[in-house]
Amino acid sequence: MTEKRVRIFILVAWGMFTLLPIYWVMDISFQKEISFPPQLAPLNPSLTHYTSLLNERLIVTGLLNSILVSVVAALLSVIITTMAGYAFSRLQFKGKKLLFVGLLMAFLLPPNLNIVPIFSLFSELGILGSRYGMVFLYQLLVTPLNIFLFMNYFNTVEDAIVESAILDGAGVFQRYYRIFIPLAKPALVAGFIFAFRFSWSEYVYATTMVTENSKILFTAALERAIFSGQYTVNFGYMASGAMFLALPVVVILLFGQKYLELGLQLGGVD
Amino acid sequence: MHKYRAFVPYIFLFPALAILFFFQFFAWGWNINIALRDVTIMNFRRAWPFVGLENFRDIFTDPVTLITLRNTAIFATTGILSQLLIGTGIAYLLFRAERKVENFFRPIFIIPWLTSVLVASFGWRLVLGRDTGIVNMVISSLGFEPISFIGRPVTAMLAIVIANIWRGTPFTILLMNSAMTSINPQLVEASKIDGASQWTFYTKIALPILKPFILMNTILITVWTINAYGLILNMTGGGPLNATRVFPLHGYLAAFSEGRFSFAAGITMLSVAMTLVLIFFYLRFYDVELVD
Amino acid sequence: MKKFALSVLILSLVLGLGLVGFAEEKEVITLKVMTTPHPGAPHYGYLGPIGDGTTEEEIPEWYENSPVVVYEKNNPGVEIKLDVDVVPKSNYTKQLYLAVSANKKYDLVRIDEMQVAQLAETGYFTPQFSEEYKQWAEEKGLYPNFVDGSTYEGDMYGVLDRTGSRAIWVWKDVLHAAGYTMEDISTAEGLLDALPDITKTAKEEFDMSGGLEYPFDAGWVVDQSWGWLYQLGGSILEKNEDGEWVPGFNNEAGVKTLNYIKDLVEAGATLQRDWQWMLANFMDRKYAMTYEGSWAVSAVTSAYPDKSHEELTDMVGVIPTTVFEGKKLRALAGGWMWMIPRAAPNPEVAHDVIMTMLNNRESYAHMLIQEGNLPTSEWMFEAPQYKSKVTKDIPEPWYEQFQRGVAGGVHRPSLATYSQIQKAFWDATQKVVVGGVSAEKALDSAANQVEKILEG
Repeated sequence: MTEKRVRIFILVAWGMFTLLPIYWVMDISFQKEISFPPQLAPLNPSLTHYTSLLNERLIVTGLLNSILVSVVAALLSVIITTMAGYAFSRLQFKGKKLLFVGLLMAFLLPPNLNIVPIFSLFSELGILGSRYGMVFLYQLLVTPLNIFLFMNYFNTVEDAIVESAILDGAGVFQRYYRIFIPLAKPALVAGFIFAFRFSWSEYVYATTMVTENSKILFTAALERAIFSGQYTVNFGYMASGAMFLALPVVVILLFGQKYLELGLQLGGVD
Repeated sequence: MHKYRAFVPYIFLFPALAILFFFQFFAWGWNINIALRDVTIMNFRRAWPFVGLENFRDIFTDPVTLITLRNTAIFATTGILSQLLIGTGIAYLLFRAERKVENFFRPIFIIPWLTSVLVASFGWRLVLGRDTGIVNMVISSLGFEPISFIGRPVTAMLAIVIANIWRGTPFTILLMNSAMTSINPQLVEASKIDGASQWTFYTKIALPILKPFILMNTILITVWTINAYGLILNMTGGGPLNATRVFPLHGYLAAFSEGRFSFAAGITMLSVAMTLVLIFFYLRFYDVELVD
Repeated sequence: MKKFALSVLILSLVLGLGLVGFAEEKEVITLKVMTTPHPGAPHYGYLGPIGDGTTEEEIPEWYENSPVVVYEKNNPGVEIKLDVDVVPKSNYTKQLYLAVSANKKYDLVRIDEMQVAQLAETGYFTPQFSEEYKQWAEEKGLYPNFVDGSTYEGDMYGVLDRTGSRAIWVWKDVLHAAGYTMEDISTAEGLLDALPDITKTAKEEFDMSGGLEYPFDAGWVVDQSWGWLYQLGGSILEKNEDGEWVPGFNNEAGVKTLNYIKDLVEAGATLQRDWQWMLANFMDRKYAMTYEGSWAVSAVTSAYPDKSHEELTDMVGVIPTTVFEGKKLRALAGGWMWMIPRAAPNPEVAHDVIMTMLNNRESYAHMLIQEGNLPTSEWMFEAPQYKSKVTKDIPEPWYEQFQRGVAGGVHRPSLATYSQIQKAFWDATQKVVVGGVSAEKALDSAANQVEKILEG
């Protein structure tokens, strides 16, 4: 019995370690007036940091831009990765193995590594600092992961269904959008959420590649708002902004956990 | 299979693979181009003179490069070992726990993996801050002087290692946990009937089964740990005294705070090469998995 | 016929109204600006009111005197709209590089003196108004160090229009309780001698965390120590007999400077290395003294709106920087200026708006006050419009101190590789202060590094 207690104790301890920074940020975000060291719990919780953050014009622009970029990027991702996943799962073609290995390589190489050449290429193409550029760039973060997701999902579709469709005369394209897409609804949601999350919380590219206020993304806007006091730090903005960034995580934990782990079998962090 | 023209699959593959090709493989090629020329912010929009391998000579004669390689080694070894040990340990505890307990902890343990780098770095900077964090509240309540973790070379390294363990371990937990679940329960039973001791079971039966997973996992987290710099960038910016300036961050800062793009491109090339070697090993293991 | 007359009437009415409308319609010009935040109005920038005015934030009164509003008064036919990207200092270099790389069509960009050379070299900025800047500098008595600081290869890229001074802020009650006066601690040796006592008094009698807070994380601390280096006869770079740049810090002056900071820390100064607190800790009375800048002055005055100048200066003292015995105060005189990109859609208007500000003491004074900064010319230091307003914030004895610091300042060498050179010296500073390396050794390796950078 004691051994079991020790085991539970270790799990609880790790759980506390896991939650500590997030709890601390949340605690600070709800305090009415931040003074350091902060209270251990927000005894008089207040939303003032949230409301004043949302009153910042730049933050609102950043939120809207980030929603726009993330939604478009996620939609695009779902479209192109279901197509590729379908091909890998159900079609035969020359060079499949080679392309698959290339895909694995692309998946394993951390996207942040390429920032210098991408910065330069975007400058050559004249899309440095544009939102379209970011939509395409963000495909890099999630495309391999989503291809694996859909490939695995399409692999589980029963052959009988596909064969009866073939007997009905459905071609490659019809099978894709009449059978596989409708059957993959839960995976579509998961793929969308993944892609959305990656773009939503991306930080290195967003703060390096976009400068204009009108095109700024949320993470960069947040950084600007936090340090807008010239020589001081706005801890209220920092804490409440971090909570905004964490929102999609909550959504995933509530709705997408099952699929998340499916994708996780193949790995992937940003 | 129903007949279709040979090019049809490529239509399906094209959009996704074209984007990947552009941002990964084409970008490497472009990166080599930058690395072999002399590109700084000053001539960024003008002609780029070809200088051959001069940038690599600069990289290796720069005294800071050695420091960053040492930092990367420290950051990676401590981070990877801790992630493996803690992750496997926690995975085992989850595996042994009752279903109810496992379902309770699992989502909590995933959180860091899902969280933005920005949240992680803000969170840990606040938690470890001299005046802002709980760690120093404990330290000063014990009567010691508060410590500025981010401000001292050794403790700053400790801070980013902790933050990296926090963020990276969930992956190992989940991967190792699912690896353990894949051990056939009948095998466990059989070994009990055979009278094998727990120790023999773990070393002779469980470990060989888990071995490929451990290798795969090690390679993956190595790739991610040696190349992770977003977290460090926002936590310490590489300081103090370059104590947390890891190799890829060295490149990033050279490019975007000093304007030395070619120098950075050289570092990117070396990082990519290092990573490709690791990936090569990974693919070999992965291949074994696929074929068997 | 009736129809025709009616049509003519309508036509003339339309034309007439159109002409009236045309006459009233102003030429609208949008100026796109990139700048750093500043305490006065973090979301605006001081150039003038921004956007359509639909923000919740109240438009400050002083916008009446902002350069854009004054310019519009002088040019009734023109209406200027501002589109301002406010980028924090911590991220500014990155975003500047982005603007350069993407050839962004800004009309005006705020530039730190230390980056002038590198950015001029990119070709993104234009020196096309060089002659006018020179003329202005001559007429208004711009201190020579700022003329040099705004010049690259013979061309003036703008006018360094504002600067700041380092400053040690002091709670006088603690100082007096420890048995010292402001004079005692205004010399380098005096501060060092007094620090242990002040620290002890601060901790024991006033329940403070320490005697002197020494920021060691903020971007501007990198050249915190240069004032001492220059006083002692050293420099960051100097020209040798052949007219080539060589490091000027690998000598006794450099060693003494770095050891001085180390000694301060050993005598009880607390290195502040988490975030940038500005005067927050000092105002909370956590430290008896803090090493900050003149830019922090509003933190003191706004905390005590009811106090008179005399009461304030009785409470809080300020020293630009400590001076070594037998040496003269020499501060680092950096600053900020406006530069105009080649790609600017409206370079002439942008230039005129800035010149409007520079020629209008009222407007110029407001900029300085809002940004919490000091002027760079004799003309502005003496301007009653400035002096009368600013001495509300910076009472007389402080004001004198700052002017001396600015006028006797030293500008940074105008070199494209400056940021790397600066970093080498900063690394040496850190090695000595927190790394336990001897000053001689640290400076040797920094000098080596700088020589290599200079060789290219």
